[in-house]
Amino acid sequence: MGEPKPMTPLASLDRAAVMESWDEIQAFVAERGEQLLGSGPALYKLRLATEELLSNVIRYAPSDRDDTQAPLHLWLTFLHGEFQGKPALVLQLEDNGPAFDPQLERERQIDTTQPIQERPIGGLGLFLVQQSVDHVDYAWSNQRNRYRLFMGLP
Amino acid sequence: MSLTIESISHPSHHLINLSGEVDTKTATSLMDALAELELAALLELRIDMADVAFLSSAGLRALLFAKQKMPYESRLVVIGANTAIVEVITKTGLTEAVTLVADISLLS
Repeated sequence: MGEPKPMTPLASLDRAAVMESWDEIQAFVAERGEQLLGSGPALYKLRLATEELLSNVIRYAPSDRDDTQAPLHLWLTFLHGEFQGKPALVLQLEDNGPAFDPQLERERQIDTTQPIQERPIGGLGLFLVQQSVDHVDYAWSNQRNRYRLFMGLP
Repeated sequence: MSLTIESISHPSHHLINLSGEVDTKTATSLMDALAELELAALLELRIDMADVAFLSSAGLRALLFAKQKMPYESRLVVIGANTAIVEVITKTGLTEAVTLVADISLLS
């Protein structure tokens, strides 16, 4: 198996990983995503997967980072890459928080037989990430958590 | 991204009109609006999503929160949700909690 082909960056944004950055980050994903994917279902799905991952990073950001640590930050990059040998749009999300592997290779299931009154309120986010994109992976790379969302291009 | 919430009490039900996007940031406002209702005594809650463009799991959690607080025999009706939102609700198995209605005119 050969080396994966290098991916071409298309657009990027970096912001502090705080809720105050939320609207700007969402607007970046929505506007650049629409330019690259169109306004159809694929854009909705990419936005959904991105929101679920970013929400986890920001909401569960450690509150005990001290002044000697770099502020918690997010980097978003759209790239042109490949998935299963075909052209794909890749949205790479990175943060410099503590390493956290959400085990995205493990397929999430929702127990729809469980009575509504007993359903857990949480746990839908990573399920939706997996359902929304063609492929998602995680790596701890260059002291950052790195998530990559792959959407096949027609 | 913003969300406008209008909450109206009717004799037979409560109606919440939403306009905008329901995401991690805005869903807290929806949760606040729901928490203000006497959900434990509410037999029908209608949420009009005809003007909602985007709903994430944060919005789903708000729907599930409401239905779990409402009586067992109650009805939570989501009106006018777009195709993508209906797909999200369906995929997550929440059609058991939510009655999907295409248009408000279909309700009495």
